[in-house]
Amino acid sequence: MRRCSLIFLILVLAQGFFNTARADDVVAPASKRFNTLDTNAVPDFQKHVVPLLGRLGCNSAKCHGSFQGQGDFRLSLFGFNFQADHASLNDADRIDIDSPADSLALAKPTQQVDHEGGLRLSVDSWEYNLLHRWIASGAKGVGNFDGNIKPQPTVADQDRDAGIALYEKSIKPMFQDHCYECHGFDSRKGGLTLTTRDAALRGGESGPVLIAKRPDESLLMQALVHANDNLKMPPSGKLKAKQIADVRQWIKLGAPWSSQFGPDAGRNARQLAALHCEPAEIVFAESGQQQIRVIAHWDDGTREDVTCLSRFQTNDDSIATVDNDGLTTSSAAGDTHVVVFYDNGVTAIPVLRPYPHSASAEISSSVPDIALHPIDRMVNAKLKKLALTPSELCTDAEFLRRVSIDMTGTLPAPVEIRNFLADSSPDKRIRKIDELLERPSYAAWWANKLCDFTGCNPKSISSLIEVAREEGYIQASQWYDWINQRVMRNEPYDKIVEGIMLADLSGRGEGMPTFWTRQSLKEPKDTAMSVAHAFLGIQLQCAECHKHPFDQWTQADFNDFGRFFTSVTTTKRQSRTREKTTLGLLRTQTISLEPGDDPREPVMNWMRDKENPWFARAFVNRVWAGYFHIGIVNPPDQFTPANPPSNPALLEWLTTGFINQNFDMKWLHRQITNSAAYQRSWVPNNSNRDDRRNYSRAIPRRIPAEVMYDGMKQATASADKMQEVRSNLRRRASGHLSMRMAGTHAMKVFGKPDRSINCDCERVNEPTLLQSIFTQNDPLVRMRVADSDWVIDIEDAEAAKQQLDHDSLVEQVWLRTVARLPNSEDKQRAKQHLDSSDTIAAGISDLLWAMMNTKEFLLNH
Amino acid sequence: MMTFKRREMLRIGMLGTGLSLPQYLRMHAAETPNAPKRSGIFIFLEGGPSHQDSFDLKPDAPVEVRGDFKPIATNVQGIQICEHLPQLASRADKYAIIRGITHNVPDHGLGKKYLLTGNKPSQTVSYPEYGSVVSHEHPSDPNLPTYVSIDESFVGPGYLGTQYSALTAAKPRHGIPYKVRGISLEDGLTVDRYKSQKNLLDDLDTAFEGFETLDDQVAGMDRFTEQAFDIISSPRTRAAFDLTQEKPAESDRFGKHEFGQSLLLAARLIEAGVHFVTVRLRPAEFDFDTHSENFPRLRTLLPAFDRALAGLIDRLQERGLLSSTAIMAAGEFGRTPKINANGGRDHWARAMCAVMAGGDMKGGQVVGATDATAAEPASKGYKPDDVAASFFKNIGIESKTEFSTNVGRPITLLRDGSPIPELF
Repeated sequence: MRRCSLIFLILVLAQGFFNTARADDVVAPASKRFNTLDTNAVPDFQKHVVPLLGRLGCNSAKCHGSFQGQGDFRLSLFGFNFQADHASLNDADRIDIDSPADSLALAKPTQQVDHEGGLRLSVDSWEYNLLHRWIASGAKGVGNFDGNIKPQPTVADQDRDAGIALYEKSIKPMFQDHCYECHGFDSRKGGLTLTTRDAALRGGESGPVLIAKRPDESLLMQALVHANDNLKMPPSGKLKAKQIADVRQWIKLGAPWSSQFGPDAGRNARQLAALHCEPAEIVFAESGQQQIRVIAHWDDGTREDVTCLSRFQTNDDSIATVDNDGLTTSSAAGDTHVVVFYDNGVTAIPVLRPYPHSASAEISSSVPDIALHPIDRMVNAKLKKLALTPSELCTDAEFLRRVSIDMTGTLPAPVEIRNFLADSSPDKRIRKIDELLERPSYAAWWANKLCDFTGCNPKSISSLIEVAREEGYIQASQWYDWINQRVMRNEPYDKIVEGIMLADLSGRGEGMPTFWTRQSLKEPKDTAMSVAHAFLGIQLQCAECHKHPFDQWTQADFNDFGRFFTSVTTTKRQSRTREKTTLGLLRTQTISLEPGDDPREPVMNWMRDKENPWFARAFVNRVWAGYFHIGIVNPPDQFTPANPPSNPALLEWLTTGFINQNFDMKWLHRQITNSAAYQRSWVPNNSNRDDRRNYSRAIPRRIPAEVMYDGMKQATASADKMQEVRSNLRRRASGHLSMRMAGTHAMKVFGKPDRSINCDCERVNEPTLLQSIFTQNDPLVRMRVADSDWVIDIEDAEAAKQQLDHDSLVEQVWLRTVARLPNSEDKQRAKQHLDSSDTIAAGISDLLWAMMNTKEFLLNH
Repeated sequence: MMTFKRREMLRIGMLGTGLSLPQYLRMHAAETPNAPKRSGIFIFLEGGPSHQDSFDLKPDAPVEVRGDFKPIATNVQGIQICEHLPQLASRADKYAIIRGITHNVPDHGLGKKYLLTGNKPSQTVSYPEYGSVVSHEHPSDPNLPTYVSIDESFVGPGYLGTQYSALTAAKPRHGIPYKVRGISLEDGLTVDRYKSQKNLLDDLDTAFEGFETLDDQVAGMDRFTEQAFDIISSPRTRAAFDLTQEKPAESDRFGKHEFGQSLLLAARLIEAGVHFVTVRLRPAEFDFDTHSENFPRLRTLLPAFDRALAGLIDRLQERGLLSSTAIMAAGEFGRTPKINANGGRDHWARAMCAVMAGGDMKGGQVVGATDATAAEPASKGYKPDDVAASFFKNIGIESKTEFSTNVGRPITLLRDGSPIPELF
């Protein structure tokens, strides 16, 4: 409160921070309750200790959260394995219940004992007091792991505890030293990884390696004792007898696994029902500060002020910064989010500050709201909030070039430009959009994009052996063709995905099975990650090894999702469940499977369900991102609570409409491109210079690799070959050549994705030095100009002493490259250059070279 | 400290490092003063050179293991290397030999990725090669490329982003005019005509006049257009790539083969101010993958390597650049202890070796060892990660540097591995 009263006016919306009386039933913050050691309050391991360790940085990747731990002390990364963390803390004198202050857990971070991580807390701070009280009150953990004070343990518990102790002491180091090189995170020899108990139970190509309580039947034991000649592990030589005996004993005890990779992470944890923040939105009028208050709602109905135990992060600190305690400071006009983390809760708070040149009245003065496209109503509402005035509509020439590139990956032809400019009917943009959507190049370009999303990579399909590579190209081309035909006839998006998801792996039927044969899909969880990325726009890979730091996913969610793809991934032949099982679908549904079911079917049904939170949204957002420089959620494949949409209403409208239109892709393209938001000029006005995420103006962006390649070819083609260059997909980088050209110098330099990892970031659109070297002097560009059919035609005409119309040639250069007519200055400079050139052909080729190096050519604007 | 204007910061943040602006700021706020940064040369011996026939001979091993070659003494007491490396034998005080490097990826593609990045290949992250990291951490002057790869680079810039890619220079051939894709002016194009074209471009590139600083892409393109022109037209770069400026005797010192000429070019580039050069000749030219006829082939390969590396060390020493240039030579793995039926040795990742020179490297020593048949490290051995951490240390880059990436999580330059203390 003290800080809130600072400096300028602060507007607080939503939950009304100033007005909210402190509800009596909200437990006071730990910083108050542990202000002195003289308190009866007992800290809770999950609610207080682990979040505090997170805030102090103890369980970060650089410190004890690292996979190797630090100084023999290891905590689960981002803390969600209470058992393992509690066990680690209780080890090696870290906790001394009788004399809490002597506990290493306190002596180290206060640097009373040498601590490599430096001073993390000071004696007598509330943080110190909290840890002190926790230790003094028995250092209880979560569930069964209540430190030294335990309820009557059962035999199973005793076995389990003994097994875990043995695992920590002997088994884990043995796995690390002798097994993980081949059966670890990155290497899965024989399809086997030993990183989780689950994985070991599942086994590899030779079947399960671990059968709990039955050491002699476990393949692991047989391999360790060198029971048969074909399987002797580790390859470097037999382990010591003691180690082997430990493994036997451990399996006898049920092979319990204590690490954070275990399936029990989070077991017995209390459930956080909600994480509420006050205020729910922050709007600054000018520079200023605002304290955020965080209230945890637990499933048992208790509520607690956890501000002092939460972590805070800003998504853009050029707009707002936030300190460790949740004090938010406005840095500049604009909008972003401050994200709050506590336990497994993540909440994003919008932070806005209107732009200074307040002229918001201009937005709707000329057009009545009702006449606006729905997209514009929602975009403008946000602009109004930020006092942004949108730029004017772009010129017809700009519109034609922009929409041709974004929708069809193709520059407009000179004759098309002339016709469009000459057309004076008011609906010509609407008609042009409809016309472009019927062109094969629309299908080609968006099939190319769908190939990006689904990872159509010839190298990943084919075997690693050189001779088989051709097969990879053929299959990748079939993949592309399959999608292209469907986009061409505007098959609903969910039908296309169904054709991929449920494809018969024997190749029968209408489906497209190649997706499942990707070499990178070695493990069911690889497949789970790829499906989640391709069709849901979510990144699961963090949860492979630890709790996702910015998302709600835990390893259990991830493992369950992976199990849907077990048979399709491991056999690459069939997708049938072998046994009855019940699996969770990313916390939205639980599915029961019977033997013989294709587990992909419930996944597909769930995805296309209109209640699915990601499927339609992810696609709509990716298409939007294809027309603007960023997605409404950006990056488009990071749908997480920490990365909220910049305009939620807009994303909702597009998503709902798309679903209601039966996943009609052309409907979606048509809506977006008909909006004023899409058709704006890039030229800023006084208010919107710095706006980059609210669509108040166009942001110039580099043309994609394929468009650059095809565009240069088109710009230098002779008049009679131009149509062929534009339409022959077999010879276009956005057509079939897409597969052939993957990995070539030109495509690498301009950031065409390899489609080898699950990330939209693989396509890079940033300008680089090598791109400029390429466009200025690469032999490919020099040859395009030197061998241009069009320039050669001019040369021939000159040689035959034909009269050449210089003005018309100059116009052609401009139409071919920047899709507009030259202005008078352009003409004058061009004429001057032609006059000083040895031949007209040489002069024209210089002009072509120069124009293909302008920003106006290289950018879509 | 940070003196960027906000606009500039936005630009940097957007430049495809995968960094959002806040991430970028955090990264730089956390930066501590580093060791002096150096140039680097990585000589990659493609195919996997036989460690036991080069720097880790086992003269006492059974005949089917020890092979045809004999060890010779070097100018350092107690260190012996192969008889076909006489030039290097007389300079053993200048470099360190690392024996007993061990990993478990006996596959060319994956093994190369491992050794060229220092990180074991992963399904979810593409790691950057050394030169790309140097491009990110230690850029050269604007009219020079930071990182040149001879020949084509194999791994690329990975999560750092395409602007940290190598400029690719084809391998030079002795006596044949040398061209660099994108840099050399070809087909009779003169510097004057290029300059006149550039003038024309400057006059016509007017669409964004007055708005040059408006958007990152616009500003970035302007800067790179100028930089590309400077590099292509500058005498400095052109001279660095111009091997005809070398006297025949100097050229001969490195050897007339492509490998020698490539190392000579590497030396010229470092002298001009390029900060990192990878020399990786494709197998067709310089192939250490000796599945058959191991010994006859090494009789050609080793002397070429010997002469070229000795030439490189001498040259940098003469020009006072050895202490500011970290050099490493290694392949993707070693080769099988037992000689096969075709007189060759097959892939063997359990043991391999590397050579390091320049910078802070303490020369004249061998670190690590293998067992009696050169099959396994004698004790724990070193991982390629440790070798990479040592090389980075010698370049002046902290191997625990954390990069924010747009794959959704921060990535440590080398998750595993730490510098080998004896080397420094």
